[in-house]
This record gives sequence, C-alpha cells and structure tokens, in this order.
Amino acid sequence: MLRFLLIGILIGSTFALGLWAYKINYDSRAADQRVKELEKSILSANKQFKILNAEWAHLNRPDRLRKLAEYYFSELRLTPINPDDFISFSDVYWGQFSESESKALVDKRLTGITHE
Amino acid sequence: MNSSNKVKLFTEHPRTRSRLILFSLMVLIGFSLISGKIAFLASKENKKNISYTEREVIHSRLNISDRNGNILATNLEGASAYIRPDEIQKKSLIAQRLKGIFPDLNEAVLLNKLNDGRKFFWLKSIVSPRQEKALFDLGQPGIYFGKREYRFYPHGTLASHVIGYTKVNEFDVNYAEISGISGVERAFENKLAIKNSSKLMNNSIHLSLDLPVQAEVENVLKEWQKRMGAKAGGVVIMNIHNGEIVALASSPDFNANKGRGELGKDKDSSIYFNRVVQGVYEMGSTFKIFSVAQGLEKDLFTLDSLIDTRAFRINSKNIEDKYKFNRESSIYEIIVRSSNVGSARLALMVGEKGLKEIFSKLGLLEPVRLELREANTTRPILPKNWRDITLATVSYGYGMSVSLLHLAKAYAILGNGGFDIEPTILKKNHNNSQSGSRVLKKTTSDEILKLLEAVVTDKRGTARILRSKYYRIGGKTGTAEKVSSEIRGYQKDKVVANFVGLFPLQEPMFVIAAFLDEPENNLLQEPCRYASCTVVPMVKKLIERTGPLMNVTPDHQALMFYRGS
Repeated sequence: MLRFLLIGILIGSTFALGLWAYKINYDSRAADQRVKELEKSILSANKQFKILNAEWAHLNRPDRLRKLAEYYFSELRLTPINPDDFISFSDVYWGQFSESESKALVDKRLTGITHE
Repeated sequence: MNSSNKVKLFTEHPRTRSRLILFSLMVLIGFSLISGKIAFLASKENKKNISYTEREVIHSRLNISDRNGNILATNLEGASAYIRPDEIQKKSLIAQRLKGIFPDLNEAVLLNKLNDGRKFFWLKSIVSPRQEKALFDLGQPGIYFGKREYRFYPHGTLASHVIGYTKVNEFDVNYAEISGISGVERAFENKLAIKNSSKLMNNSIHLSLDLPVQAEVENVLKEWQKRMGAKAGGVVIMNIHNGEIVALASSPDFNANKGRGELGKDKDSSIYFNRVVQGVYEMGSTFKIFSVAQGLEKDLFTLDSLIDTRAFRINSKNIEDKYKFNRESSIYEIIVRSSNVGSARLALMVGEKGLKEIFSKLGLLEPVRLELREANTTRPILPKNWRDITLATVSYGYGMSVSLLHLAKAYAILGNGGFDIEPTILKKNHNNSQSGSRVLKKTTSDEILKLLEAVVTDKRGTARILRSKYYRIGGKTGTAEKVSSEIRGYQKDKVVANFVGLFPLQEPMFVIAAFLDEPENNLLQEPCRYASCTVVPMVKKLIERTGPLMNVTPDHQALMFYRGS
C-alpha cells in the first residue's frame, strides 16, 4: 500500500515537474519572441522618428521659412527680428507698479527660464 | 507506521533497495541533464541573445546638430537596387521600362548589361522611395532591393563647408559604409561612425554653430557677393571669450546631398574649397593694428604719439599713401585713416623681433588649431627674409598671407582683454569661461578697442558707414591688391577686400571677419573696390541682422554716438 502511494507520489510529482518545466520553456520562448517583436517595433519606431526628425528639419530650413513668411506676409506680417524689437525695461508701461516692483515681478517669472 | 517498520522495509527487501537506488540514479541523471542544459544555455547566451536592434544596425552614423539641437546631418535608410539578369525573360522590354523609371540610364548600355551573361549588376546605388515603388510595381523577378543607409543634409547647402561631406567606402547588397571626407564629417569620423547604434540612436554631435545666424549670414553674404560682382566671399563670427564659432560661411558652396561626381560636372571643383579656413590671402590694412598693439604692449608709444607720415624710401622702394596726410600724424589718425606710411614707420620702430612676437602671440605664424583638418593643414605664408622693406609692407598686410580665421582669432585676442583662445567648432558647456592664458596687457586691449571704435565713429574713419544706431561696433578695413599670375607685381583692378570687427563694444562678445574676392561696387558714382564701400556695408547688415539672433541687446550709448555726430 505504502509502496504504491510512494510510487504514485513520485510519478505524480515527476509529471507535475515535467509540466511545469514545459510551461516555463513555452513561456520563455513566447517572452523571447515578444522581446524580439518589441525590439523590432522599437527599431522601426526609431527609424520613423529619425525620418520624421529629418523631415521636420528639412521643412524648417531657414530659406523655406523665409519664402513662406514672404508668401503669407499679408496675413501673418512676419518680419526678420530687428534690433528695434528690443526695448528697454523703462519703456514698458507697468500700471500701478513701481519700477523696482515690476522688476522683481519679472525676475520672479523669469527664474527657471534660461537663455542660450 | 513506526520507525522499526520502515527499517524492516528496507532491510528485508533487497530488491526494493536496488530499485530505489536505480530510480534515484535516474532522477539524478535527469536533473543533471537539465542543469547541464541550463548551464549550456547560460554560457551561450552572450552570443545568441544579443538584442535584435544591435544585430540589425551595424553601420550607422551619429547626427550632426547645431548648438540648439537642430539637425544638420542625419542618416536615413534607403534602398539600393540590383539585378540578376538570368532571372529576366523579356530583356528588351524590361530595359525600356527601367529607362522609364530612371531617365538618366542609357537603354543600350542597360540592354547590353542584361545580355552579356553576367550574373549580377547594380542598377542604382540608391533609389528614391518613389522609384522603389515603381520598380516594385513592375512585378518583375530578378530585380532586388538592398537596405542602404545614406547621409542626408536637411538644409542643403547650409554650412556645407563646416559640415563637409561623406563618401561610400565599401558596400554590399545589404550595407554601405560611409566615411567623412571633409569638414566635421571627417574631423570627428571616430565619434560619428559607430558600430552598435541602438543605444546611441538619437545622440548627436553638437556644433557651436547657430542655425538661424548661419542661415542669415549665408543669405547676406550671397546677396552681397552678387551685388558686388565678387568671385567669392567668406564670413566668420566667433565668440571672443571661448572661441566658439557661431557662423562660418564660404561662398560659393555646395549641396552635399548631391553626389560629388554629379556636382563636379558643371561646376568648378573649387566650390569645395573652404575660403575662410583654407584660403590664405594678403589681408592689407587689417594688419596695421598689430604693430600698434606691439608698440602699446612695449610702451614704445601712446595713441597720441606723433609719427612722421611723409612718403619715404626703404630698400629702394617707395612707401606712400593714397590720401594726403600731414607731416606728422598721431597713431589714432594713422589707424583711423589707414596710413601705409605711418604703419611702416611703426613697424620699423617695433622691429623684426617685436613684429614676430606679436604675430606669434596672436597665432598668425602657425595653423589655427581648429578641429577641422582643413584648418590644421593651412599654414600662413610668411616672408622668406625680414628686411626693413618686408617689415614695412607686412605691417600693412602685404608679403604675408593668412586665412580669414587667423585674422578673426588675432582680433579676438586683441578684443577679449588679451587672453589666448582656441577657435572651436564644438559647443562648449560653460558659455563664457575664459580658458586661455593672458598674452597681452589689459590696457593694450582697451586702447586697441578704442582705436577700432574710432575707425567706425570718426568722420574720417574708413568704416564710418558701419556706424549703427543699435550697436557699438569697432573694426578695421583692409583692401589688398591681388598678385597677378601673368605679370610680375600687383593688379590694380583686382583686390581682396576684408573687414574684421568686434561688437558690442560696451562688453565685447563677438568678432566678425568678412571678405570678398574681387568685389566692385558699381552702385556709386564711380566704381569703388575698397573695403569701405564693398565689405563694410555688408558687415553692417550682417551685424544688424545677426545681433538680435544672438541676443545682443541694442545699446543706448550707440544711439547717442549715432545722433551726436
């Protein structure tokens, strides 16, 4: 009786272990496949990203933008940046604020913004 | 069940025991097989399980971008097309159809290639997506496509001389290895060419160039080159504190997207010549400031010292001026009105040793150590012997040839307070750190800046057109006659006109150097070839256009100077 029980348990556990190993094997193959697919899609996304970046750069080339600005001038009124576009701090109307107050206000807003 | 029973079980049945041993042995073998396999897989993992991306992209190249990350050069994937003729049946029909897709192909040659029994030939090393589709739609067996990376310059001709160009080194049906031949593409070949790119996919080399500034500079340069009928021209704008080159343009330029052969057919190969970096010219009066600087450095004179400016002879050569000068002129006047005689006298005062000393401090005796190979191989042309006449002529820019970049570097050192700098094409992290050692006194630099500003603000100054209501600018003009290739001596009607300036003078930040080769301004009452009427107006436009782009705020003092005169 005991012998059958023992053999039964052993056969049962071997079978279970085999099943478990098979499942792990199967899962790991599937995972490997998925990784490959993901990497492939990352690669193609990267490629697309590169192409789109290049296209974006190509569309934003300065001579094209210049032509577009001229073409749509009547609607957009875009002109090249000019030294006249800079005004000094004191030229701005600050309403009820005094100059030192307004300076503090602007400084507060500008913290964190860096200029190249 | 108690323990005595258990013992009995094992001892009284020997067969059970041997069976058990056999069974456990088999289990042991089974597990050792499994663990062996695991160990085998684990050891093999390095070779087999390299990620897909790393296996696929072998030959790639980093992007080149400007200081703000705008892409200047990138790699794109295209396709090459090749043919296996023995798989094609109706050869003449196919040849005809291929001609329809690629109008530049010769049908007879193509047919010959299809028929002469070869197994394989290249149809096109790179086909456009549209052509690829057309080929595909033929549905013809025997036409194959290979993956091919190619270099793409989204801005076409922009900064072409700095970026340089590439060529395909070796290629097969599935890859092409690209290597740089000139400019940044060559200088940083080792950094750009990477074998495994998956992790570096979006990395790029950041240049110090500023795309909008560069575009504006090229735009203005080309416009003025046309207006002045000049053969060529060049401009460089550089940060005088850290040596970053913000814009460098040489005209005529080229579009690196087109193949070199394709370009070479109708245009002169000199379009590949970087005139700012590789071209050495006699620079004329822009050299005058150097002997003054050395004199100030050694306390030989002050700006008010009076110098004899009557024409004189040395080594049986006459030294004279185009304009009339008084018997004696101050150094201020010599520079502002650009007197050759005065400059020659100053050079003789400074002497050979002094002149060589200042030239070597300003880096005019050796190649500029810019990263580009073109710069490292460009040596200034120096006089063979330094007689008195040589000293005199070199002091006003004849008998010694340097590149525009040399000149920009020299003026940068004069203007930044006297610190040595190394021009660089790469973006620096610390924006305005003064890295070089001091080579000139601060006072010398200050006096020189005063002189240079006077050239612009003085009513008699050669660059008075440059006076701007926005910026305080200082600089020096130079016009040098070109050496004739046919007759001995100089040609009166062919000049190189140049200008080197510093701005904004309340806190000097940038040096701008510009030149035009054989300019002639015919828009005035009589034709004028001097720098004052050719290059200077161009520089004015350049500064007023690029200044705002580089965040140089207009100066109120400049307006006062402007109105005050």
